[in-house]
Amino acid sequence: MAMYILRRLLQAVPVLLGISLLLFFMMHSIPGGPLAMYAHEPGMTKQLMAQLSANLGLNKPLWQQYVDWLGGALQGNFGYSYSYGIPAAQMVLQRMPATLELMISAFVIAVILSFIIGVISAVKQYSIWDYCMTILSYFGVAMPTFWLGLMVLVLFAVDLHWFPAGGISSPGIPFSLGDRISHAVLPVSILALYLIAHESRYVRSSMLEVLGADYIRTARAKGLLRRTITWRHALRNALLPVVTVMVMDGAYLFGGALITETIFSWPGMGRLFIQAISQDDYPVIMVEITMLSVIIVLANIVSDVLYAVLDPRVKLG
Amino acid sequence: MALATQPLGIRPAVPATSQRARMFKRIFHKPITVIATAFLILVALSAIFAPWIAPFQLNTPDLSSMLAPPSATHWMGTDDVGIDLFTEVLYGGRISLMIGLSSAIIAVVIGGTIGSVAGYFGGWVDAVLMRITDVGLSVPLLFVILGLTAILGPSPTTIIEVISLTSWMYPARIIRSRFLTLKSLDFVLAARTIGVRASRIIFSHVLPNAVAPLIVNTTLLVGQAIVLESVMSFLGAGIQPPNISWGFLLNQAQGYLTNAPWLAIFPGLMIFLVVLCVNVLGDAIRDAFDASFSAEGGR
Repeated sequence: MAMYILRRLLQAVPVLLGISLLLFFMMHSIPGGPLAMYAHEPGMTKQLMAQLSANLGLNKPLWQQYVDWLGGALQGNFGYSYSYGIPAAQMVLQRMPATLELMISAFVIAVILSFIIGVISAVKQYSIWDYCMTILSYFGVAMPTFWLGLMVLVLFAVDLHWFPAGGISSPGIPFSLGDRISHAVLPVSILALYLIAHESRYVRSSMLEVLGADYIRTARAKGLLRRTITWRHALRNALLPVVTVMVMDGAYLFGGALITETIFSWPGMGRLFIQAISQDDYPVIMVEITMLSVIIVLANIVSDVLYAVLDPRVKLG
Repeated sequence: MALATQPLGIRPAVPATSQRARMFKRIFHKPITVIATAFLILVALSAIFAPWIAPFQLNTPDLSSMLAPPSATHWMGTDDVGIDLFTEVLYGGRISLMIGLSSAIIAVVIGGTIGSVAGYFGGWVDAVLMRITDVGLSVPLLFVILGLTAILGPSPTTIIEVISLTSWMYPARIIRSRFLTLKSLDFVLAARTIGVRASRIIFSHVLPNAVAPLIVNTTLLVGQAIVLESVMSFLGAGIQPPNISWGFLLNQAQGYLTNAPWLAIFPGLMIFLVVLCVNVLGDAIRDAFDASFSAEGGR
């Protein structure tokens, strides 16, 4: 097991290097660049421009810039934001709690509801409930998140005034839990709905497979309560394949929250990312990209290992 | 195809046409699949024949009816300069559907090739190709998409390239795992023994046996690509005028969400319905293949 984890971690190194290399060069070949906005300032001379470029280290050959960045990044130094002059890593970390608030609430709600919906759908296969939930999950999967977000925003925030239209809290008032919750309701439900649509299907099909197994028939024959069989005997084994899917979903949520954050002006990492891209704030972009890729790569390893830990039949090769 | 499947010994000797007919029946035995397919055909036809069907001229502003709500003359209302939205949706469907279809097909071709080569040859070829696939899977996709469109410029061709370049990884993995199972079967060994070229074994002997998951994946990718195009347009990196797509219309609608919500409702509804129907069709095809595998003892 330890060897396997070690090997996977070692394999992750070239993958992460590849990602950073690829994105670094891509980022630098985007026309414009961080200095473009200064080019048309009055009084801007070629000399000043060269000076600016030298200050940011942009005059060096690209591979040298990458090596410099990599050297810094390995020591935890990701450089300073071009737009704000503060350490880029610190800027991203400041935004992290907001994103985590959104993600964790959506994830927890989604996991709980997916289990309830998935299990009931499997137990009552082909019932009205099952069909309704199937249709709902088709809707959830096919609905573009941002469109649903916009529609929900217009309906519940603009027309009905049930919830605020954006942001994480009302400006100018002291912290209040009710205020935070009312701001979070819409974005969290949008994210959760999408997750539920995906995950409840996995729970359902996994449960269906388990419910047909011999040991469930034995449990029934012994006269155990139906409820006990479903929630204790069957669900435990049905959990296995679902857990790995959920771990990956959680990791992708980091990236997926980007659109939801943009729509609901949520001050999280996703919005910072979009902002950094539009300002060509290279250091901030690189921090975000590195973090996202590390999370996804690690989640991949965790989900594989978890699968083997939970199911002794699985051999890690 | 027949040559490749016979040595497996899992298909009964029936003429191909009747097998195809049974497959067709199995896919379309549920009414919902028929409805979904009919809807997709309708949308495709109306996109192809948009210039003949559209009730109004595209790009001819009518300043006397700006932001008009849906009515008998303007079925889906009009936009901020009085262009009929129904007309725009018809024309927008051309680009949205074209992007969806072509990028899915290109992605499956790229992914299929990479997956087959990796799975068939194994060893270091497999290791290198799979690490590249891992990079693709772990990369923050939206950034790549935004970056590539910024570099290449937002034409429909670019968008197809960008979407297919960012979605070939799943078909690659699926095909690779099919190849890992199939390549050790006797018919591959037999082909190798009589000296068939590797490229021929891959493409005409093994690949036809892996075609079922590919078809299912293609349908799913079509839906994803249409959604991805609209997300790109929403973030301002999608189709630019004079081309229009459903995503572009949604992007335009953002400024009028409160006073003209129909501008957002109808294009969004089209994306939603098409993706929904594509997924329904994809599931039906998968079920049909699954049924045919179990019925013929293939699995």
